[in-house]
Amino acid sequence: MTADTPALFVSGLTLGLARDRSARALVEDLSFDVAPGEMLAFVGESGSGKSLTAAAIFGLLPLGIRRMAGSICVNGTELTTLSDRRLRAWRGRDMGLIFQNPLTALSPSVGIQAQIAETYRVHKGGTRDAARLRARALLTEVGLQAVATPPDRYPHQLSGGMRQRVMIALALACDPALIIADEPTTALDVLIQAQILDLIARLQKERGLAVVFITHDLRLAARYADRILVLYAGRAVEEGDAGTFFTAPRHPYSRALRDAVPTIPATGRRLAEIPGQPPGPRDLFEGCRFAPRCPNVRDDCRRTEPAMTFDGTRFACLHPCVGTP
Amino acid sequence: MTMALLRRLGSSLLSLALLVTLVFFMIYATPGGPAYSILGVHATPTAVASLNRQMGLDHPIWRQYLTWWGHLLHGNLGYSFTQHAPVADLMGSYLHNTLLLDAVAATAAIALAVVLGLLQGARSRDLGRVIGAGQIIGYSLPTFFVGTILILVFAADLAWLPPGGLGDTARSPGLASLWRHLTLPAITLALPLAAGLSRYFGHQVRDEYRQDYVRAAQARGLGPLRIACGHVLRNAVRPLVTVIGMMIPYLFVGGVLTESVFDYPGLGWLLWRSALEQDYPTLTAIVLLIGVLTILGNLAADLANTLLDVRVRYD
Repeated sequence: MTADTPALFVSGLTLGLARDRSARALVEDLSFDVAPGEMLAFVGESGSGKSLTAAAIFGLLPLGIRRMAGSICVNGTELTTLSDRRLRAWRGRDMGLIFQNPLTALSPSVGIQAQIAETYRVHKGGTRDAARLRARALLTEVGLQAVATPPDRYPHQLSGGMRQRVMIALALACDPALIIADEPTTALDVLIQAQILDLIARLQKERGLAVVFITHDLRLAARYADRILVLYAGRAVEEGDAGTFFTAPRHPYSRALRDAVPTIPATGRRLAEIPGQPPGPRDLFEGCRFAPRCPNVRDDCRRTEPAMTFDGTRFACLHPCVGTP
Repeated sequence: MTMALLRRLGSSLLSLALLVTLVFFMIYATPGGPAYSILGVHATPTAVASLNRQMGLDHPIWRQYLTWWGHLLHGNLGYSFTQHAPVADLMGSYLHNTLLLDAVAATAAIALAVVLGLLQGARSRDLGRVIGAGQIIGYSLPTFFVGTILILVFAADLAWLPPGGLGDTARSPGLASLWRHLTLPAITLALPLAAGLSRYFGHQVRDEYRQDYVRAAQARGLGPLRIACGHVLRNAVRPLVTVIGMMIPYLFVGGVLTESVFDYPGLGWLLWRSALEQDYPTLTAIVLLIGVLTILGNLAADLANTLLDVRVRYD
């Protein structure tokens, strides 16, 4: 592995229903990469394919959904050709997953130190005591000194924010190169939200972690991520540097998402909303998927599916927005 | 926690008292009264009156009720006129045999239920359907039918196992003989129990597998066996313990038929014979005993549950 190898490299990823060939792909031709020490944010509405992509990377797609095409490389190793058994060794060791709701994602009847130690021992072996010490060190690192001592604590004894810190420690158990955080703060209140994201950002810098931050909150993405990838109905519509992206999005959908974010102090204008619904998996049509809801739509949008083009940011639109409104 | 324990104990004691009272009024309401069952239906009114006086049955009901409590608390369960022996002495060996059979059957049923339930809940749908069909068959086959078939096949045709009884323990003592006699009745008794428990447990396991923490464990690279035994089982087993506690009455009810079919000298067999012979003292003592064991079993299940649940233990 050289310094240039991305921690995660995905190209042409296409996911679809295994039984229904007539339905469109749930995620189509998705390509992106994340370098060590970099945070990439996935932004999109529910059903845009953010979480499915995360599940595909871990080889844990729900029953009935299949990877049709595409390649997934972690640390330069192709994962899609590995058997489930071989892939298991990669999960948790080279990549960690942080779930949305830390109460349901922690095993309720097993102590938190024991869960971290178990993950460590499954991949790295070693004695029980060594794994316990490692677990306590990790808990300390994520700011949980209070529970990094014996006796072990159970998840229900911790607050929501503490539980999410435990999830982070769990994901870090084996020093992975890549962390995928799937809406890590949606179940938490705003103050705790900032603490958790600050923690993830700190670990990302200190440990040189590659982080995929999945969120529907464009503002959080702009604040914490280095790059932003906007997904709409299973396709990447825009990808770019977080700073320029927020000030001058090119794709009309990105712009609409940004304008739907409330500001403090309130500007007095009505909060913009995007009319209509994103298409479901059975809505088939030609052309751009955002066309039915798009303010910039023209006739050619309904005929040809736009390809990714580069002009400051990467975007897939025939009639992009120009300038800063 | 101690408070909750005391409350639970108190409610068990209350159930026991209610049971004793209920059983008392059940005998009291017997048509004809005990005298007729002892002397026969053709007894003269004078003989009945004198026997009633002798047994204290001419006393007012509240006094009889208190006497009943007094006797029970002294371990006096009455005298069987058909067996010509105190009921308490009579029941000892039968109780021992029944507890032995029930323990073997329950252990086998629980072990089978846990394995089948885990298999059913864990993964393959087709395997789950096969097990599901087996559960319905196992649950619906009547005890006397299963018992008879087992005797016909394994005792009469193949002559591998004895058809019933407990053998002559004086002549052929030892564990081997005991096991040979226990096998068929234990299977008969365990079959519907295993079917019911595994069905319940299978649903429990399936619900657990839908939880996020299973996906999270997979995402950490834990193997299926580790997830099943280290995580899922711990959560799914707690409700199972409660259900096992509630299955205790079934063991005795099923025991009546099983023990009768296999001529097994246990409480169920004794209950069946006492009912035929209208041996009321023995009958009431068995009913009481079964009630007490059921209440104690439920109490034990609740206590076990409290010990298993980390959330109760620490709060």
